[in-house]
Amino acid sequence: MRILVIEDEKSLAGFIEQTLRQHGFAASVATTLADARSMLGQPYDAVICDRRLPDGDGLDLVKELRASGNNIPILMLTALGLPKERVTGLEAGADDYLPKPFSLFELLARVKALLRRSGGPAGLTLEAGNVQLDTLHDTVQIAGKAVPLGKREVVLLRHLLQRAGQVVGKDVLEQALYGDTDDKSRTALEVAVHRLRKLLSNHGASLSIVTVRGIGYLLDESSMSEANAG
Amino acid sequence: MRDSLLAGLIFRLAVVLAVVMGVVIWQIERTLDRTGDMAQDELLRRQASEIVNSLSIEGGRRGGRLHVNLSPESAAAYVSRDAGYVYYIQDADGRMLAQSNPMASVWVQPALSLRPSVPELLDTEGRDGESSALYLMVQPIMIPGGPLYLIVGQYRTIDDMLLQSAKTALMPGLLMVMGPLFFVALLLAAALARQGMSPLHNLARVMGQVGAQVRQGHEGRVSVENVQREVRPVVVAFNDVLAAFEKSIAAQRALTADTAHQLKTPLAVLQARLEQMGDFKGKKDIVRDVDRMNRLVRQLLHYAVLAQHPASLQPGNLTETVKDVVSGMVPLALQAGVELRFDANDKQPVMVMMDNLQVAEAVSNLVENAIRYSPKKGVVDVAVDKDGTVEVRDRGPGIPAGEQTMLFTRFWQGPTNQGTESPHGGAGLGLAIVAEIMRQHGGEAAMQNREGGGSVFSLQFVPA
Repeated sequence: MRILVIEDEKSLAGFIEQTLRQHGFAASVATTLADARSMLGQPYDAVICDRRLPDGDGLDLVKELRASGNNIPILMLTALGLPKERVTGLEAGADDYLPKPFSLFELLARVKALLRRSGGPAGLTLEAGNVQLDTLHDTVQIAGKAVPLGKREVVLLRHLLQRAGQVVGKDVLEQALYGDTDDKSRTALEVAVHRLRKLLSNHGASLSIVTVRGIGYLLDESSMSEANAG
Repeated sequence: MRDSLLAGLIFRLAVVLAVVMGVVIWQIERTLDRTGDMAQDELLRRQASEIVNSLSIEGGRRGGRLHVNLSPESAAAYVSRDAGYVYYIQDADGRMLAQSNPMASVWVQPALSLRPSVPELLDTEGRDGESSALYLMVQPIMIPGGPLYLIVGQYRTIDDMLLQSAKTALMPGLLMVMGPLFFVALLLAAALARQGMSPLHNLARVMGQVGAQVRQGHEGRVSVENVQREVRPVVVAFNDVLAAFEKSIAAQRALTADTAHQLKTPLAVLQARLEQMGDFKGKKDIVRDVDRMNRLVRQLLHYAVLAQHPASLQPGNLTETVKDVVSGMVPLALQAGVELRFDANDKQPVMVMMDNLQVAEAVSNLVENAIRYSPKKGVVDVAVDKDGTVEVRDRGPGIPAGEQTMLFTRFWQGPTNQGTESPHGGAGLGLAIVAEIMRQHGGEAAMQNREGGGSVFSLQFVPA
């Protein structure tokens, strides 16, 4: 996976590049919009773009890309962390928006989430922790071993994986599992989650499904999360 | 009086009123006197001309013998003192030429020294009391060889005495009317003056409103359009001060925002550098310090910018907004080992007047605080009630009663009994931001200690 980092603050760009490389991405750095434009002639899988650049606003590049029909996932970085700025960034066509200062881990998680969500080429494998889901064949591997899952569990897992680390609303999951049919009930989703949770833990998955009461569920990769699990 | 325009004005009006009334009374008295004198004058002049007309002088010139040939009816008026009139004629050397009766020279004594060229009235004191006072008139009679002087006198008649008593009766009456009239006029003047001041009161009210508006960060000027000419300079000066005030506030905020903004990139570098370093003793503390600094800088920027972008309120679903915030905060809660729960009937929207982004900011500030102050494995409940209230409940340390009032002011930072080092990384500006956002929403932010320990923060919005 190739990622273009557009950031003029050289030390910060260096840290981002280093982190991405450590996690198996190929990263290149552009320090100006002009550089970025010429580098984008080559194929990249995602772009990390700062807003305040020596030769203009990163947001303009985003608008250009979107206007030319380029759907490459874009994560905006900005020192303007205000809610309104965030909205203008997203409206311009950025996929996510990370305010400075940020944690490199957070950046990595966002980039991964972007790549997952973008779907990428057909037959993409969704991956979190030691769990992999082949979206073309709907097959699941945990710790390298194939695990047979029911159709509902796979759908559930796919939705949770696509937004790993973020809350997925109950309404979204219910819609995905049961569509608009009448047979959805509160317990039906809970039963499906319970079953998936059991399967994951039985097969030694490094993921846990966290219940967020009143909202939905979240797939958590970190091991620290015990409070909401269960 | 010096601190009240109205009192000063009324005092001046009172003085003017008193002077005017004094002059009027004095004038009335003078006119009464004059009227009496003029009537007297006229009477004596008639008598004088009757006598002059009846005079015959032997030889037709000075030195000739003088005869007064009054008709018997006219002469009767001079017969005795009781008849009322007296006359006396002398020449320029003071020699008596004729008199109405032998005592006349004594009675007209006060007028004898007069040699006026014009008729003159003389009011002499009576020798035996007020009622016997004598009016005298001296009239020169021009004849060849030098003037003669005719002195005509009249004892005070009953008419005179009536006039006099009318005057003495009138004055107290006049005063009795004028006194109350003075106060009535004064009251009326005071009322009018007060009414005249009412534009000032209105202006003060408008200025107060505009001032408050500007203090809250909105645009505002007092219109000079309908303001009276006299107070217009005050309004202009007031508006100038407002403009200067706004300018300096804006400059201060811009500086704060710019500084905070400039701090962000070096902080990002610092944080990245730190994360790239291997574990070392004290790293956790430094990471926490940097995190705290990040929060403070972020909040500082937000607080500074908040006033530059006042909330634009429109009806919105509070439940939806709060739900999104809670969803977004779950990763932070997981990291802190705290369970976050959302409690609302999301099938039924709670419509309130709000600026979606700012409400999200306010709620996330409260939720972030609740998570930071919660013990491990603690629970933070976020609830939306259908009356437009958001509640964030935690099981943290709560807030001492004495410190709850200053909670929503800038830089208040957690219970002080924990010492200067705040273990929760609270930056202190979060609640000030919440308070400012709620103020712009016409709502209210409140905090109370929770039964069984912890705090309940609530935001009350205005239903749409």
